Amino acid sequence: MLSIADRNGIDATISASSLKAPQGARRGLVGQKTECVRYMSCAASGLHESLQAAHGEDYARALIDGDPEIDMDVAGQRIGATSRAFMADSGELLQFAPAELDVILDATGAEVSREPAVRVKPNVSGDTPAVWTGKRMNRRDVVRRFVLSRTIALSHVDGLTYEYLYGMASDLAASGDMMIMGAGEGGREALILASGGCRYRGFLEGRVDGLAYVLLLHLSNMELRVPGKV
Amino acid sequence: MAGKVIVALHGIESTFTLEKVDRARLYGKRKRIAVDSDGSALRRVEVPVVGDTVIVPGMTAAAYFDSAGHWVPSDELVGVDSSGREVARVPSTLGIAQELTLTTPEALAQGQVTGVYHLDAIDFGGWLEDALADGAILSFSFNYRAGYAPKVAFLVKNGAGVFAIVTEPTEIVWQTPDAVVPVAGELDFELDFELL
Repeated sequence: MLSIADRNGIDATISASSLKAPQGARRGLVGQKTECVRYMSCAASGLHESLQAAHGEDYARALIDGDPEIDMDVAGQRIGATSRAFMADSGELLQFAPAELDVILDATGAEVSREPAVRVKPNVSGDTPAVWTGKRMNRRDVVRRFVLSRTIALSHVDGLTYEYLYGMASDLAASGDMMIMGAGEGGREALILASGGCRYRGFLEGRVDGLAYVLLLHLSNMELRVPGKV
Repeated sequence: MAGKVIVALHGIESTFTLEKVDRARLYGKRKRIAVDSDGSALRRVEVPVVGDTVIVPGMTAAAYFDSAGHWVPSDELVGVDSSGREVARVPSTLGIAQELTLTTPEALAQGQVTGVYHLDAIDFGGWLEDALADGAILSFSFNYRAGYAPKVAFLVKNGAGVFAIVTEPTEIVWQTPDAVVPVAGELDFELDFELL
């Protein structure tokens, strides 16, 4: 569900679903069930650091002569469900949730700074809907300036919201524009739709065909431009 | 040799080199790490729900197995659709001329983006450069490497240059009004309060 407000500030909670490509072909055998399975290829004693410590820098001869990297008690075991954990350099597993840092890297990959990690909160909810900014852009200009990396299809939940969304779609279809959507007062803030989610600029597109409509909220966090050039 | 994108409009080819563009290369990125009380980075590991082996990166592998549990070599695997039928492998389109088709902003907007490339023209043929400068959007088949799902790329131009936006097609669902409740006309029955 998603809360949005129209150009008059009238808000509604409507149904929203991500627009995704259907799942394509997968690797397998015709007429036979196959599955991709994760399994243990070695124990800790078979890792590079362990082999180096046990057999010296150049342990290739040791591998050929004796297969020290294979632990028959471990190799080949299927891996089922697992939990994530954290390990210190000492090899000790942490018994509590660790602190988190965000390492900020610039466009070249060089570290710029470090700061305590903050989990961003969603800024779109029943009380704070995504709003029309009042700024429109021609559709052709939008798709040539921004990468629309995600699209959410909006749909009504009852007769009232059908009228509401159909009206929006008609307005946008008639103009051929997309409406820039945002959060907060005047829609100045980027949209954050989930806890820990990315910030996006929203572009609302509407189409109508008789009584039917399509209302798509396109999300973008990237301009179409060349790295290293403003 | 780096691959080239070759496209044809009205039979006249244009050739481009390509460079992948992503958000990290434009704006940088934020990488989250876990640290201990001394600020030293911790290593992410896995612990099986059943068992006590601590799994660190480098200890696992993956392979395909049939229903009898026999390993299936990679070169025996083929593409299979949801019905279990074989799907033909689609070769890479790099270096092979692909026909351009004029299309709409809506078609580009509703595709699921899988990659963006900046294209540097080696040779702009015919009317393509003018068409792009006028705001035309053209689509063509694009597969960076061989696979089972042909992708559609959209060729666009803006003030920064020429770009190919690679997408997988999606299907939009038109929303229609639900069954309309009949609207009552003139009251054509007696109000019978005795039944209440």
